[in-house]
Amino acid sequence: MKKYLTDIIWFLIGFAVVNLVFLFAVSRVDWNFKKRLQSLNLDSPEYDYLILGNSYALDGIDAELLSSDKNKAYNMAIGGTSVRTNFIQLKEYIRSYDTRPEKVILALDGFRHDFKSDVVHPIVEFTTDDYQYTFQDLPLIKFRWMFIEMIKKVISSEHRNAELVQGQLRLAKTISDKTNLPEVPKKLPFKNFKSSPWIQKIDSLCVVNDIELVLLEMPAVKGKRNDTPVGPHEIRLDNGNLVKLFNFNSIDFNFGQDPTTDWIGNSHLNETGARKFTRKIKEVMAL
Amino acid sequence: MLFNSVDFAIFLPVVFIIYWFVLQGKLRLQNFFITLASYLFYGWWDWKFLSLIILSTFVDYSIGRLLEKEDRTSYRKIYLWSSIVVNLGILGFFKYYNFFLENFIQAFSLFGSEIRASSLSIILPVGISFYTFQTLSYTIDVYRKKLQPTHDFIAFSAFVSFFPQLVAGPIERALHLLPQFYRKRHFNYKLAVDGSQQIIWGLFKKMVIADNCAEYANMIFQNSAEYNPLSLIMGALFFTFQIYGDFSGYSDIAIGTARLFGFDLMRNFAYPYFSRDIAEFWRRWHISLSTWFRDYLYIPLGGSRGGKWRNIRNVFIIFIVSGFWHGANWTFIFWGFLNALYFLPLMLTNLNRNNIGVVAEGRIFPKPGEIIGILITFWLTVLAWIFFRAENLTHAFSYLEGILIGTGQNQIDFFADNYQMLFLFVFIVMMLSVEWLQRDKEHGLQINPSKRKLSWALNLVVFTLCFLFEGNQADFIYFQF
Repeated sequence: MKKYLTDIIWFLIGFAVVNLVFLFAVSRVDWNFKKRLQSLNLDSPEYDYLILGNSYALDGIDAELLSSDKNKAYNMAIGGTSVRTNFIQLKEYIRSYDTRPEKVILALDGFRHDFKSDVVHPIVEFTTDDYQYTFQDLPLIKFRWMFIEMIKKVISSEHRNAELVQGQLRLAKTISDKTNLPEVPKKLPFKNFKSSPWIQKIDSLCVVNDIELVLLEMPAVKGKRNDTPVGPHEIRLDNGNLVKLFNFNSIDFNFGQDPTTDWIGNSHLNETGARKFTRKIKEVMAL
Repeated sequence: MLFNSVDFAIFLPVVFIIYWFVLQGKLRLQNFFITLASYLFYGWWDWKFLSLIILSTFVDYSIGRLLEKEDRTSYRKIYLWSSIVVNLGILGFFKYYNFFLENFIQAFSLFGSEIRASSLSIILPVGISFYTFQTLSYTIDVYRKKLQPTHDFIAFSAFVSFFPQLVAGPIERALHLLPQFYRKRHFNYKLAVDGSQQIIWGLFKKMVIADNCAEYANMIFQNSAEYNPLSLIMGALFFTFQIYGDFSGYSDIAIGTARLFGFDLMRNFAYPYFSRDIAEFWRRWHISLSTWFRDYLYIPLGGSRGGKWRNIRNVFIIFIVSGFWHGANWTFIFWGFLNALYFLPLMLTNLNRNNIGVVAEGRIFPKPGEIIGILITFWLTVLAWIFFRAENLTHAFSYLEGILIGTGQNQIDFFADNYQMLFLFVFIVMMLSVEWLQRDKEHGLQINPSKRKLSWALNLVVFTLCFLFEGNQADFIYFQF
């Protein structure tokens, strides 16, 4: 029995080491993980514009280009996050740093989500100060989906050569948009923005900290576009507050996008598309 | 409680520690504890159905005692049939009531009669087909005087409910398993290491192969009208490996877990996809069920004795009943029928016991004739699995039509989901290669215990792969049977 238990203990130690090595590797290789660690330890966190959102914003908003001599922007978006996760990120930012941004740009995808999800992104959850770890948080369980991403990075030079610049993930890879505009035009689902409890929480946090919250609907491939005007639309959230919303997913909105060069698949912009789009944001939002 | 769950990862070490450290040497207490642990394991799904297991235990224990005291054949027969009626009655009600009712109504409607009856919303208790057959084997063996009836109710309860094999087998014989509950058990290092390795190999087959294959098999079978022939063939292949990984994986975990407690369960799979003919396949697939039907149905029906036609009848009965055992659906019956058709030429030409030993024994590669045999058997099996997986017979035939005529247009994307499917191909090849190299051993990770470090290092690698490439489906297919 003693020999067997010794084997089991060594096996468990080995498994713990594998987990630690895996955690170390993903935190060094995975863009989202790197980004998260970076945003928790910003050397100079005095940003005027803080961009929150998921992978559409992570790839599609060029924070470097959005910055100017007067204003500095940081793209804090993380791939796969919910609005609840964005709320946690903002709360942490405000708690961790003495500075407050002038604007929080919450870049969303109303063409896909209703913003009510209570799911917290595993990376954010794992790296939150007061998180209670359980058996399910073993890195091999919690972050196993990142393993394929790591392999992609090893295999594909396009993934390997991507870079994080002021929080934006710049990818040169191109996948053409082969979709067509919807036969029956869609409308921007205002109701989803107004009723989202997490947008309301972000808004309340911004009000308390004297930050302007701007909502931004991200562009999408042709098949996912709506025909609601760009705006800005003044929408009243269910908590009674007014917030500005720019619909950059409008069929009429044009940032000079080229379906063959500006996309990277599933409505994500590549670095060329992101540059074009960010210039247009500056123009429309007068930043 | 699922084997590949956090609950079981906590349950197993706790039971192991109490069993060996607190109750070591106290046989009755160990058996009692196994019974309690097994009830907890089963009750984790639905404690209400525990009553069925307890009822079966009481009925078969009591009938065993009655048979012991009774010498008159007529009374012995009554006792035996009482057990059969109770056990199969419970199974029949939970598993087949709605099937018979619906088919009865349909049959009458063909003659213009209309029968009004409503089907019941019946939940099928997990593993009912497995433990019912196990308890029946006890009563039948006692009736045949092959086995002394037990006087130890606790040992018998532990035998009926033994948690490693309670819900999906192997279906143990009382002759083999029950005596193990009478003997003092001593911890055996080699057995425990081998058991651990078998558990890990089972987890790999379940979590990596079966659960990932399930995603694609479900996607293709559920939308089969849309897919082109290549995709439909791939769908059938995915299901072929899903069901193997799922069921043989479960059996490996069950056998390995039993070994940790000092028990030896019968082998349930012996690399069936390397079979050179369909007869060999059935000696290697779900061995505990095939041999159960052989011993308790085929042989009592006369087996291969009594002329050609009787023999053919018996083959069809055993295969069709075996198919029906899997579920109340014509697809399973047709699957059994198809396998009987495959088997028949071999039996009629006396070639059904041609391939008994290990394929390509002493060689790395098989001979061309063996390769052809393996490939033919494999594709016949794939064809039969289409019926097993289809929702109904219409679906199965339209699936085949889709393969042969090409009614759908969609092609599965081999590179979708971050190359997930390509990784799956690599793992299927890896599983087949490992099992080919280990085909003279009991499982894929059986390594000489003298190579202790190498063996544990390999365990660690395979265990890590289970987590990195775990699929989404959690339930074992055979639980529904």
